Order: sequence, then structure tokens, then C-alpha cells
Amino acid sequence: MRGATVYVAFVSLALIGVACGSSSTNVPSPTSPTLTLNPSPTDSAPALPSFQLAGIWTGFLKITEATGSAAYAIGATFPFTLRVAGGPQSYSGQFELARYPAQYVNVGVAGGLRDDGFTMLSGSVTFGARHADVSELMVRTDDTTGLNGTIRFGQRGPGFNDRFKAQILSASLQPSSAFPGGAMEGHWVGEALIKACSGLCASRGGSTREVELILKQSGSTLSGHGSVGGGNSSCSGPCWLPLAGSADGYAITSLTGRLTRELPADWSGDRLMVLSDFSATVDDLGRMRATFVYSTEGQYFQGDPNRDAPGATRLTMETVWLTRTP
Amino acid sequence: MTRIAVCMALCASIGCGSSSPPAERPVTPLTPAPVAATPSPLTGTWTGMFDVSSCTGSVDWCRGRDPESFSLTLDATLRGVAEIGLWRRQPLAVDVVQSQGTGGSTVLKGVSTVTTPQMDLEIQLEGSASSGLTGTVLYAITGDPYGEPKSTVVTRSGPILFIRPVTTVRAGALQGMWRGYAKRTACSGDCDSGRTREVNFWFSQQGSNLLASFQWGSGGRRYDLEGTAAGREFTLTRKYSIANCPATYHEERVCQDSFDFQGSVDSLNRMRGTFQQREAGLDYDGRPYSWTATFELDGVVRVQ
Repeated sequence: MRGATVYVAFVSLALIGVACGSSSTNVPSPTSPTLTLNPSPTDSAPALPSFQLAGIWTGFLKITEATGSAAYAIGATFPFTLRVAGGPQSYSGQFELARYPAQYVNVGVAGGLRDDGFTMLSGSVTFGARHADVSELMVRTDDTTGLNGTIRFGQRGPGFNDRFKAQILSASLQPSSAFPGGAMEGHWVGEALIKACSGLCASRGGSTREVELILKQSGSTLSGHGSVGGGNSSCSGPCWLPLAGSADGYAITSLTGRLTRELPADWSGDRLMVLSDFSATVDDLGRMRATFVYSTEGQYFQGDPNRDAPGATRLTMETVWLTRTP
Repeated sequence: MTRIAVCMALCASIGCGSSSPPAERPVTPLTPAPVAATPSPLTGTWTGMFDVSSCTGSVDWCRGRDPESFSLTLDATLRGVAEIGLWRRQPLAVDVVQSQGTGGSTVLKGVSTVTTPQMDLEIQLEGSASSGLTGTVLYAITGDPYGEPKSTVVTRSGPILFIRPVTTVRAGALQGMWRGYAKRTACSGDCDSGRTREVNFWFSQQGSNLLASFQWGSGGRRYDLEGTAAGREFTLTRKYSIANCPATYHEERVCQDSFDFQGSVDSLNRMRGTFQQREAGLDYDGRPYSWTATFELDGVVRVQ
């Protein structure tokens, strides 16, 4: 009797499982969208966390040494992001410190595992008159803190030369940063260097602009919005150009955008903004390398303090760094 | 045995409620209306962005049409938390409940506990979590985009550009950046008007040791705190003073401050708690001031 009861319970549970499981195979149709079972995303603090170095780390570091104009930052904590791919023999990655005191430190790094269990990474980037480097990033995973280690980094440019040493306090790991739509999908934020300029170009050569792309990917089709920083008084905040384009694997083969805005007669700013000649590749770390042309037409101050004059600018740009928000 | 079989049949009918065809009913935004409890197909944490394709009701609020970010943390029942990135404001967190919308879609609705500004939210999701979700975000917000107390109402909505599941492995339950609001519940001494204010916390956890940075708003002074963690609960303190605190010409000077902070976090990435802050110093004109205030966290969630 007891065995029969257990058998009935088992069969009933199995039937429930089959019946319920069948709903996961529902295919959404255009007329009747349905939700199927999920891939079980979690956001957890497991009792026994298991960490690997590869992935996207977001954590905190504490400045222990500082020289230059930011010496007062000793003792302060700052958030950082570290992207790592590869294996013990050869890791590659990207270290990002997006907040003051070192807002320009966004550096590609590479290295490998040492005998003492730490992975040693380093790298540098030079763009225009600015330079940033990570001279020594030693990290290892830790069950109590996620990640620990130390980092030496710095940045220099016209009028500043700051160097820091910091202790990595703790970090959380996103093992995967994949987007359902594809390799290009997501919110990309970075900085692009003006490589060449024609038209109105005063004080623009070698300088940088903030770049943001918000891309939706459906197969090889891209759509979304993009902004290339600058003094655009015709928009409230960044001017967002509607974007359309296409992707092939890890490459953007085309991406164009065009925005026209009304500009009051006595205002300076852009009336027409065009993104063209866009070419880019992305990698598994969520980094994009892109070149593009950004053209504007509008009303600009051109030396006569009492009069803004029409003008046009064509900027040929290359990203210094452009990473996808984790 | 009969009882077990009946029980199993009953359990089966409850557990597979989603297999029945959804009732056709119009979407009635802005009023949470939970339906029968079915296991959520969306359990976990999600982040995404949506287009603001429609904005009505306030010239101030509608000046900005930037795409906005959002996150969702949903449990296995019908409840969860959504955080919406507002134009030029601290994002707002809203407790949401799930219900079934028209055509089998899932609808998440909720109203923020923060009242300035206050959000009435509806997110509609369609499709498959495994092959991709689509949907819309719609919210009505009461308040001013620049934080002034005057009341404006605006409705903003648009299609979701992308949404993805986020899996995060943490060594400590408290680790991460937390943001939201804090409302003042008591104050003595030289107190200002004391409206609900934006707060940001950075928690670095090393076992039971906790280091935290706290900041009022996005540009305010940062305070470093230390404390201990026990499971999902924590305490943090800070005591700061300088022995010699002379007046600085036309500049406010903080000579002493202290914090006592107790709180906890839950599995939906919400932080609850209260903290007492004391501050004494010299005001803009060099006159001494001091105040002691108690604050309660409101709509504080972990940044995904």
C-alpha cells in the first residue's frame, strides 16, 4: 500500500512535470505572444561562490598611494570595472576607472598567471596629448571578496601627471555579458579621437568627443540611437541621432544616422548632424573599435562677438575606447 | 491514496495555470491587478533600455527624449522590483506585481513608495525569455524633473530596445552600488526643510567586514563608513571630528559628523534601513550650527 502510494505520487509528479514542461516549448506567434520558461538568470550571493577570472568584474579599490595633483585621494574608495577573457597562459582585458580622480583610465591590458597564483596584467593607451597606463595589475579570485590584489596606474596630459597605487577590496563577477540580439546589441559608451577635420576646425585637432551608441540588433539589422558629444545647444542634453545599419558577425558593416533640429536665429549650435562611413569590430569583452565620420552644419561663433555665422564641419574620428555597459 | 491523487490533480491544475488561454481584457495601466498565482517564467534579474517615443503632459519633462535604462528583479512568485532611469533624475524603484495581459503577455505594475517624484509604472513583456523578449514601458510620474516641490504630471512610454538576463556572482550579499531615496523622519537642532533626498551607497564586503561610501545626491560630499555584516543584515558607523575647526571665509565648515546605520537587504535587491546622522560645524557666516536627524531608506535598490 505504501509502495503504491509512493508510486502514484511519483507518477503524478512526473505527469505534472511533463504537463508543465510542455508550456516551455510554446513558440511565440505574432498573433499570440507567449512567455516560455526562462534561462534561470540569478542574482545571488551563494554560500560557496565559485569564481573564475574570465568575465566582467565590478568592484571597489582603495587608493593607498598617490602622487601629482590627486594626492588627497589617498584612502578614498572608487568603483572599477575589469573585463577579462582568455586563460592562465594568456589573458586579455580592459580596466576601467570611470570616476574621479582618474576619469580617463580606460586601458586594454594583457598578461598571464604567475607562480604565486596572481595574474599579472598591464597595458597603456595614448591618444592626442593624453596617456593612461596600468603598469601593474595583480589579481586573483578569492572566495571571501570575489577578487583581490593591487594595481598601479596613472594618467598624464597637458598640466597633469598623476600616479596611483590601489588595493582591490572586493568585486562581483558577471560570467557572461551576452545580449540576446547579438554581439552589437547594448549601450556602448566611450571616447573618440578627432583624427582629421575639414571646414570649421578651430582647436579641434587631437581632441576627443564622448560617444554613445544604443543599439538593438535583430539578426544582421541594427537600429537605435547615437550621440557624438559637443556643444549642441539645439538639443536638451546630447543630440540623439536615429541609427540604422547592418552587422556581419563581430563587425558593423554599415551604420548611418541623420538628425535635423530647429535652431533659433540667435543661437549657436548644430542644425544638421550626420553620422556616416561607420566601420567597427567588437570582441567578447564588450569592446568596440570604430572609425566614422561625423558631419555638422549650423550656426557658429566665428570670431565676430556680435554675430554667429553659418558653417559646416566634417570630423573623421576613431574610438579610443568604447565599451558596452555591463 | 485517493487524497494524494486528488491533491496531485489540484496541484497540477494550479501549477499549470498558464496553459489555459488568457482572458481577453484591455490593458488598464497604472493600477496593479494581480491575477492567479502562477510560477513566473521571468525569475531573476534583467536589465535593458527603452525608447521614449511618447511623452505628454509636461513641457519640462518632455524636453528630454533620451532612451532610458531599466532593471527588473523578479522572484518565483508574482512579485519583483523595477528600477527606471529617469531623465536628469535619480532612478526610481517600484515594487511590481505580475499579471497576465492581453494575448498572453506578462504585465508588471506598481507604484513607487517615493512620493517626490512618484511613479506609476507598467511594463508589458512579450515573447520568450530564451529567444528574446520585447515589450513596452509606460509610466506616469508626478513631480518636477529638477526636484522642485511643484507638482507636474507626465506620461512617458515607448518600446523596449533590448533586455537581457543578468547573472551576478557575489561573495557577499551586500556587495555593490545601491541607490534610491531617504526620507527624514525626525530632526532636532538647526534643521532645514528636510524633503526626501537622493542617496547613493557603495558597499564593499570582505566576509563580515563592511566598508561603505555614502553620498547625498550625485554631487554631494562622500562619507566613508565601516561596519559588520551578518547574512543580509548590517550595521555601519562613522565618527569624524577635527580638534581645531576655525571658520573659513564664506565657506561652510563641518567640524564633527557621525553616522549610525542599520539595515538589511533582501533577495529582490532591495535595501531597507534607517540611519541617524549628526553634524556640527560653522555655517557660511561663521556661526556654529548642529543638527541630529533620522532618515529612513525609501526605494533603495542595488544597481545592476
